[in-house]
Order: sequence, then structure tokens, then C-alpha cells
Amino acid sequence: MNLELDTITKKYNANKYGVHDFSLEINAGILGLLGPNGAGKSTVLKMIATLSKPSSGSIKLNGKDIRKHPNVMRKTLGYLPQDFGVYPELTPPEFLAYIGAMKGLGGKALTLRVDALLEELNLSTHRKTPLGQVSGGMKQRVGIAQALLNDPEVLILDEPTVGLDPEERLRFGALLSDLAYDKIVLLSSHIVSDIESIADQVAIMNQGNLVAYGAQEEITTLAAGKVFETMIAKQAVTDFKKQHTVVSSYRSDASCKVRYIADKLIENSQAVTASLEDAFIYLTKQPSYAIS
Amino acid sequence: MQFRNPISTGNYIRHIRSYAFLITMAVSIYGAFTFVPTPDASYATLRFGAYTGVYNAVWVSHVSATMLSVFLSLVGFFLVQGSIKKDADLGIGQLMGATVMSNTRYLFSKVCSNFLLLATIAVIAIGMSVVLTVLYSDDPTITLHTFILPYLMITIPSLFCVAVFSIFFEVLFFEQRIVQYILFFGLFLGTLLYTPEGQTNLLSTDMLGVHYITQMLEQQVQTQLPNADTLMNIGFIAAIEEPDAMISFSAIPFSLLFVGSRVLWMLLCCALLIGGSFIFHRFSLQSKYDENEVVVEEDTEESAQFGHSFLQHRAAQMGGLFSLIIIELKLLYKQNSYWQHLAVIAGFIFMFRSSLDIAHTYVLPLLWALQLTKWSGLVTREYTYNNHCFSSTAYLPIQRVFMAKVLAGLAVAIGLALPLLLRYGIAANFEAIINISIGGVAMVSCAVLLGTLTKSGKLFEVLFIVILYANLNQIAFVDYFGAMHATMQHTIMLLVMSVVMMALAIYRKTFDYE
Ligand SMILES: Nc1ncnc2c1ncn2[C@@H]1O[C@H](COP(=O)(O)OP(=O)(O)O)[C@@H](O)[C@H]1O
Ligand SMILES: [Mg+2]
Repeated sequence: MNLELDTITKKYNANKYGVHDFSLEINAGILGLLGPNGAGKSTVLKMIATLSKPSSGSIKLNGKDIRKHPNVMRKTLGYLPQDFGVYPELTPPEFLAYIGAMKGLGGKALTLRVDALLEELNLSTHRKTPLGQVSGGMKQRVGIAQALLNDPEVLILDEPTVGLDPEERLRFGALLSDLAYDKIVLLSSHIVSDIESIADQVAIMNQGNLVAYGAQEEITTLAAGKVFETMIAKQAVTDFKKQHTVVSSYRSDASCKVRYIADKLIENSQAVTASLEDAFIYLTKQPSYAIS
Repeated sequence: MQFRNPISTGNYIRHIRSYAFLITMAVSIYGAFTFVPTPDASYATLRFGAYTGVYNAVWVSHVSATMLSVFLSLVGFFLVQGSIKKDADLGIGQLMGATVMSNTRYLFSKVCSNFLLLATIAVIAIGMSVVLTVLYSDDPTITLHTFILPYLMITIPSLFCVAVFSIFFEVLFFEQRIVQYILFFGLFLGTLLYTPEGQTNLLSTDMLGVHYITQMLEQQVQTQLPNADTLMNIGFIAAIEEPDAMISFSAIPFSLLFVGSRVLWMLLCCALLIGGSFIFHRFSLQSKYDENEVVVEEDTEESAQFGHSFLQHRAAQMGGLFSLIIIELKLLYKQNSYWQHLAVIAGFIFMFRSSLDIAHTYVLPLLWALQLTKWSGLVTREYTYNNHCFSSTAYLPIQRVFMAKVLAGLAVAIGLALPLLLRYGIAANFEAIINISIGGVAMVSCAVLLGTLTKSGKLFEVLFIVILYANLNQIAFVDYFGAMHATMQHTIMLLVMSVVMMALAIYRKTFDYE
């Protein structure tokens, strides 16, 4: 399995780019696409899913250009859109059977697979509930199930963990790890912890550009030596945030422990080991840093 | 108060910007053009015996105000209906439900935007009438207030009532679009046909306000020509051999009583709406489900094991069109409510028991009309419910998914006509069978084309209702299912049109998948 994005650009209008000169090569495994809202994650994923076409550049699956041959991709694709609707009058198994038929699946094997997926995604107690009546998290799980129906070789999940509770997130992560050994799994999120526990590789996007790509440790080292912690008075926090890039702050009685990113140490601070979260903030929240 | 304007304007803008509205505008300009036949036209819309009016400002404004009141009310209802549902689908309704805005204010803001939309169309049509008067009248002087007055007195109040009913019926029957359609169609025909002749009352049943104006015009004819046959005729009346005799009409006075009856209609509508605000669901639609939703989550211990048994079940890739059609049919079937099933059964019985002629001319189009939303939603429901991403990323979206929808729609059309087809089969009338089948093809092609163009079922529904109205009035020109002894030429033209429409739809659809 090999997916190659070669300098793809998506231009929405004269001066609005969704994605700009984006290149990436992906082999089997889980790639986490991380970026703040509006970074262009969905735009990239939609182009890979053949929902939209790049304005320029090419996307190749095993050497075949999917812009010219979208059905090569569609045949082996599982795609969970960021937001989607369901037909309210259908129950989860009916909806899955419908999507399955659209994907060209059928027969007894489809029924068995739908059953197994419902079981797997904790939906089997709601087999008879019309989708117009289910909760948001349950709808999301139906969405995940639909993406897995056809045993996809390329699985694209746009913000899949939205609406899942912590327990379900764990389950979901384990599920993906089991799936991914010979497949391409691409998932996006704007929450670092979602990606951290699941992804083999991480790509960080900001304002339509790819700003970093590599294994988690490689990305983390980009922020090494630039993360500090300090204790400051509660009242000073707001001002501090204006002047520095703050990753997190923990309040205690009178003071506040602040974790921030800076080129050099500010007094009363101590350097700490960088995490993926720090690197993410470093790469996306600091326009002043030149990113090489 | 601060809420009213954004909501109405938001709605209004959403419509104005839509592609469907452009088409509506083009149609209303064309409508204005046809409502008052130009002096050289071969038809009439308002005639008293053999007499029509001299083409001048008075005649144009009076006739077009009348025609606009009738036709824009009918078409307009179907155009604006469903705006509460739209809010619910988009989630805007739920946001509103959580604010301090009262039901009454919300509903009135909805009425305002619907009314504004209809009024915009009316204004375009009025503008067109002015242009026509200047172009064709021998006496192109227009006194603006006498020209505008009929529209203000007749058309505008009608449109307001229509805007209210579009909201009121939706409050009453939120989910059942077809019920709303039937109610309005009944109200429309009822107030149009039932109103008794004679003196105008303050309490008039004439919602559309057209009886007064036609009576007053008729009086003028009678005073000018006391002995002539001046039977009034309204609608699109085909050419008669000798040219119509012309009468020069003078502007009719609007009596206080009549103005009062118009105001009373509007007040009545407002009262209805206020009544409706008491039973309005306020988008708490979800709450009625919460009770059923017994959250029996799986045992967490069990969920800790990751068996992934589904990996063992690899679904076979069949790619068959047939299974997809079956599942599309199931989906269409599930959209039916209980009473719609009953209506189909009743329709089938009528089709078997009534005379072949009645079954073909009336029962068939009415039965199709009851399932109208199936075809209008065929290729648009995936946009309404925002899941078109699933079909467009499916394998061979046009050859399989789109075609399956079209064929399922066709199967429903043919299925509903089945009792009639059987009877024709027994009578060995194969021409009728072919005509009905092609009628089904034409209808589905039209639905699919308008749906792919506008991503909404509205336009097709409006068109279908207008055609239905014409069908029930036995106008042969729009008889697409061959009930009025269609000629071979008619049939072939219909077939060609269907093929063209379908080809255009597929052509347009390919762009969706790019
Ligand atoms: N259809 C569209 N038309 C114009 N701009 C768009 C469209 N879709 C997305 N964008 C813009 O492209 C940028 C990237 O959006 P998106 O890919 O949805 O970001 P993400 O998924 O990372 O939150 C945003 O600035 C968004 O406003
Ligand atoms: Mg997104």
C-alpha cells in the first residue's frame, strides 16, 4: 500500500487556499493529521476520498492517479466525513446495509459483517432504534462502522473521536491498531491526545501547509529545549499569556503553574521535557518562529 | 424584537441566493407575460362571453393582479412551504428553541420571510406588467396608483394568507408534508370555487379576493352591453376563431366592505398563527425520544476484550445494481406513513373499480401526487440529510448508485399504476400501457433533472402540482400520461424529452463527483 500526495493545492477562490503545496507519502500504518481548526485537514482528506479534486498536484494510490481513476480509490476506501447526516427512519443495521449496498457489498456475508460491526462498536443494544432517535456519540459510531464495512485498504477518518467517551476512545484506538498493519489509516484531529495514543506517524498542518511530518519522537524533538515551566501569581496569568505562548496552566491556591514555549529561559523557570502537545503548540501557535 | 429581522432576512437571503429562485424568477416573468395576453395572442385569460378588455393599463393591472393572486398563491405555497423543517434539519431551530424568543415571534418571523419572498416575485411580475403595458398598449399612460391598487388589494393580501398557511400547516403537521399539500390544495380550490355569487360581505370566503374584481368587471360589461352573453371565463382559454370583441374598462372602485374583507382575512390568519404558537413544538422534537432511549451500554468488562470478530466476515463484493435497487425501494417504502399505505390501497381499489377513463384521468395522477415526495426526494434527500458524501465516495457512483435511484423511482411509478396497467393489458390496449409507462419515465426524469440541478425537491413539486391542476382541468397539452387520447407525436415528443432530461441530469451529476 502506498499513497502519494504530490504538491497538491486546493484553491477555493481567487485568494483563498484550503491547502497549499502539500506533499506526503504514506505507507501502511496509522497517520495522524493534526492541526487547529481551519488548518485544511478536512480539505486534504476530502481530496484523498475523491470527494473533491485538487486544483493542482496529483494523488496516487499504488501509482495510479486517483484524479483520473477515482474508482480505484473508491473501491477500497472507507471514509468517515467530519459531519454527515443519516436517514432518521432507518435503524443502524438498515443504514449500514444501505451504505454497504452503495459500496457494492451484499449477501449473507454483509449481514454477518454488519452484525459483527454493531457488536464491535457497542451498538447492538440499539439495533431497533431509528437513527432519528440516537445520541450524537452513537451516530458517530454508526459512521465509523460504515467506514469499515468493505474491509477498506485505505481508511480515512475525519475527526473520528468526536462524541466518543474515554472508554470508547480506548476501544477505538485498539481497533485501529489491529486494523492498520497492512492498511493505510489516516485520521485527523485537533486534539493532540487523540492522535498521541494511536498514530505511528504524525503530520502537523497549519493554515493550509504541512509544517512537520514524522514519527512522534521526531516531531517532539522539534520543541526540545524550548519548553519551560514557572510559577506565577494568579493575577499575572492573563498578562503572561499575552506575552508568551502558553501550553497549559494549572491553578493552585494563590499561584499558577504555567507551561510555556520560548526561545530562552525567563527567570524563575525551569526547562522541562517536551511533549507532542508542546511541539504542536510550538509549530502552530507561534507565527513568529521560522519553521524549517 | 431584535430577533425578528435576522431570522426573516436570513431565510429570505437563503432563498434568494438559491438556484431554484433564479428559475422561479424566470418563470414569474414568463407568467406575467402570459397572464395578460398581448393583443395579438391566440388565447385569453379573462373573458366575458366573447368580450375581453382593450389592452390598456387598467385591463393589464386588473387581470394580472387577479391571475397573480390565483397562480402565485398556488405555486407560492409549495415554493415556501417547509421552512420550519429546514430550520430543524439545519439545527438552527434547536438554537432558537434555547433562546428567549417566543413561539409567536418565531412563527411571525417565518411568515414574514415567506411573505417577503412571494412579494418579491409579485413585484417582479408587476414590473413586467408595466413594461408590457408600455410596449403593447395604444394608450401607454399609466396612472401609478390605479395600476398598483389592484395588486395591493387583491394579490398582496392573498400572498400574506398563503405565507401564514404555509407556516400554520407546518406547525400542525410537521412531518407530513403531503398532508400539508393536500390541506392547502383543498383550501385553495375551496375558497376559489365555493364563494357564492352576489353581494360582497365583510365575512367573505374568498381568500384570493378575485371574485369581487371579476364581478365588478362583469358589471361593467353588462352596463355597456345589456343584452349580450357575458358569461365569465377565467383561466387559459384557447383560441376562438373570430377575434374577441373589445371593451374599454375603467378602473374599478374598491369598496370599503371589500377592503374590510381583505383585512379580515389577514387578521384571521394572524389569529390562526397565534393559535398555532400554542401548539408549536419549538424544536423539542428530540425530547419525545429521550424516554425510549434506555441506555443499556454493554458491560465494560466485556468491552475490554478486543476480539474484532467482524474482521472474519468479509462481505462479498457483488457490485450488483439489482440489490441496490431493492434497498432503494425499501428506503422509499420506509418513508411512507401508515395513512399513506392506506391511501395507496384505497387508490388501488379505485383504480380497479372505477371506469377505465376515470381511473386513468383522475385516479392515476392523484395517486402519483400522493407519492410526490418520493420522486422529488429521489436524488435530493441525500442533500437534505447531508449524507451525499457516502454516495459520492461509493464505487461507481453514477453507473450504480444514481442509476439505482432512478430505476427505483421508476419502479414506484409503474408499481402505483399497476392495477390500471393490468386492466389495459386485459383489454389489450397496449398503446395506453406504453403511454402510462412513458409518462412515468418522463415524470421521474423531470424529478431527477430538477433535483440534480437545484439539490432540492421543491421545484419539481411545484411543477408537478401545477401540472396536476392542469391535468384535473383536462388540459390536453400537459397530459403526460396519455389519458386524453394522446397522439403518437405527443408520445414520441415526451420520450425524447425524457431522454434529454435524463442525459442532462447525468451530465450535471458527473460534475458533482469531481
Ligand atoms: N467549500 C469551501 N469554500 C471556501 N473555503 C473553504 C471551503 N471549505 C473549507 N474552506 C476553508 O478552507 C480552510 C480549511 O478548512 P478545513 O479543511 O475544513 O479545515 P480543518 O478540517 O482543518 O478544520 C478553512 O479556512 C476553511 O474556511
Ligand atoms: Mg475539519
